[in-house]
Amino acid sequence: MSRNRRSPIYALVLGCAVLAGSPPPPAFAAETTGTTLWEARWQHVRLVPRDGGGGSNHPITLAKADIRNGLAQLRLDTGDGEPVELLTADERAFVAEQLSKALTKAGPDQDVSVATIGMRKTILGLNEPRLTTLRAFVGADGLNLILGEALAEPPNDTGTYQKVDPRLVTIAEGRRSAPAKADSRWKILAAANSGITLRRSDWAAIPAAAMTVPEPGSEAAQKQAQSQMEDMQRQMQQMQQQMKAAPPAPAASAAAPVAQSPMAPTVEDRLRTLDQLKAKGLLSPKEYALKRKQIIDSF
Amino acid sequence: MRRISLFLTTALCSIGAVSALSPSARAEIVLMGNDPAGWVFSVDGFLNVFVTNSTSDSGPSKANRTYRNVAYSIGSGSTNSGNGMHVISGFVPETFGFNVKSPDLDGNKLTARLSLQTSVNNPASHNWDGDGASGGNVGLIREAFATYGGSWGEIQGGKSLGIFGGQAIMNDMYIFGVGAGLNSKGQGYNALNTTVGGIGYGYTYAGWNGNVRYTTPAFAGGFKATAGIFEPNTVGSDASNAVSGTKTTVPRFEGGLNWAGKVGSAPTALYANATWQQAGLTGTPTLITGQTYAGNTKNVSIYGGEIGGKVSIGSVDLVAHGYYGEGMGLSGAQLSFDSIDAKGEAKTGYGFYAQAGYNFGQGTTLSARYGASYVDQTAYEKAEGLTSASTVTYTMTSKDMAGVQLRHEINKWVRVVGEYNYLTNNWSDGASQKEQIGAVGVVVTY
Repeated sequence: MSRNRRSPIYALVLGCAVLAGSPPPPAFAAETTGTTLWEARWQHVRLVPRDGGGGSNHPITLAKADIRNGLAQLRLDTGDGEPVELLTADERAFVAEQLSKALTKAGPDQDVSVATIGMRKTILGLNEPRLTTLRAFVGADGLNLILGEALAEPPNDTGTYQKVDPRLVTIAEGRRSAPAKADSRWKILAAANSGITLRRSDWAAIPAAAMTVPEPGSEAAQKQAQSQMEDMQRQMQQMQQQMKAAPPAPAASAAAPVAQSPMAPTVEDRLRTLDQLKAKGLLSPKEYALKRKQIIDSF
Repeated sequence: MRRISLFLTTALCSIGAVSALSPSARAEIVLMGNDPAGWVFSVDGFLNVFVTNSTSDSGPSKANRTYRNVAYSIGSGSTNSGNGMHVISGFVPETFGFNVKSPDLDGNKLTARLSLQTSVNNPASHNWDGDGASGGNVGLIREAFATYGGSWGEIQGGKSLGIFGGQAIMNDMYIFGVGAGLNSKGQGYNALNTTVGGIGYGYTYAGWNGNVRYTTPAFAGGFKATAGIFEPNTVGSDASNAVSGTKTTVPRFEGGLNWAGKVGSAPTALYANATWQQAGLTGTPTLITGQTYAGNTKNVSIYGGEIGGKVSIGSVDLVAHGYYGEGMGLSGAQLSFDSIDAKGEAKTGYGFYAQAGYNFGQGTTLSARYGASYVDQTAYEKAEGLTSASTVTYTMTSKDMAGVQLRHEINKWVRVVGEYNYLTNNWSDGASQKEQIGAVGVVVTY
């Protein structure tokens, strides 16, 4: 072996010098500014400066259940296949809790930045982690959420032996002034008749009314659905009792069609009510199918 | 702190119940995600097991010749030559990490990390279940440190990976593989819990030691500087009856400058680090005829510099690293084994490795690596080789390894790895020893 073994080192020095000499383009790295309220590697909850116009009603108290309800009204059109939930149920629970706390601490000139990772089904049915970032603030039109990243693959790292330098990671944060990712294919969708305003493809404003609709599958939603079902059953029982208590009709009018009591819902009314409950997400598909069969069977 | 303890206890006692409070995360599993004050407790881990098969030459053995470093070479001498198959940990031990992270504390942040390591390998015998009583190590604590930082930078104190050699090891493809074996128990099997990866084949081992360091915040477009004082190492020699540098009156200093950002669209990370340490010599060497020792009147100074980096261009990752210094040693155990000769003179050492990886997509990566380390003989060691004594001593002067690794991610947490490495050790009289190692294994991270 040659004694001139040091030459690779000199080549390395030269190579590094050349690379270091190239002016790097400005990059928004994962190391961001702001007051961190909660952080776990690539996930965070931070108070960040408001980045544009529009007032904020901060600090403000929003119940986490209401935030969770509002988040459940949002879906994401990925531009590739069926729309998906904007946040998974686990993420909604987490974000609602954190956001509820953060909004009480935010000042009028601060927004809340949230980065969260949830498990999503990807191709081949594999579960993969996906990163979503949101800028959140409460304005006159309700809770505003501006998307920065949606379904992004987070850096693949773990403890000491597999670590990604935050300076090499660029995570877009939602912006008021302009979409963080103008070329993105995804856009936010809102549930029909939810009252949610989609101010941009990456920006949704959730009014207070939309936050009163319970999250599908939640305890509140189940209670509400149960309550509405009980109301319907009560009305039907009342109707049956009224029909039984009514005097026999005169013979002359026996052939005439029976006038429907204005209190008594028709089968059609009941089916419509059922459809409305389903559209609001208050019934699971199973509950919907069961009840629909009962109504039709009663016809 | 009482509050944190309470949370830690609660977390450990009710992992299942609490974990549902936070979204799933890959980087680390967050157990305490909704503490009202914002404290976060998380865990992470690295687990791996490999089936290795190796074939190696015997260590060099010639009449009237003594070879140094054979104990640290492949096969541990003639008795272990031939084939060997094992089921062992790879380069990285089985690691369980525990992390605590504070919320914003008046603009600053506090973190703490403890990581525990153990091994698939029984420590002292292939046959026993080994509890450490038989002489080996079954458990390590490589990391126990805290950081406190803000816009002014970060101070870290505790036990953690060194700065000099630290990035070289983290960029090494053998983090997910096997690399070289250190075979005090036979090919690929060792009582040191893991294989040695690329240590000694292109870089020195940073080690895990007590230190206090300061790291600046990023400046000038992505630069960071770091400097720290470390618990000094004992500076050792591979010669028998040698002096050793055991009197350490000042700490070891390590520091460096690194930059991370994008060159064009290519994520790039570059670093330059340096180390310095001195130690007072103790002992009286037994020298060859005609050589004298001046006595333990001076300190031996050890110093070195290194540069390297990683760049990702599309689907291709390129890594390069090089170092040069006095007293770096060749065995890989930085400073501690073959850094000085019998008289206490520091030995010049240098080395490099280059690595390229291609990502085929769908989680499949093919990497290739070549690394080599060299140690020049001191004047005394050259004289040893020229002596007319009946038994002449020769030193190991270089080691090199070429390897390829195919890695496929089953998902983001589980990967299968296949690897082949070809190693050569060389001695100053031209003797050499070769080994081939093949390995297939599974690496789990969470």
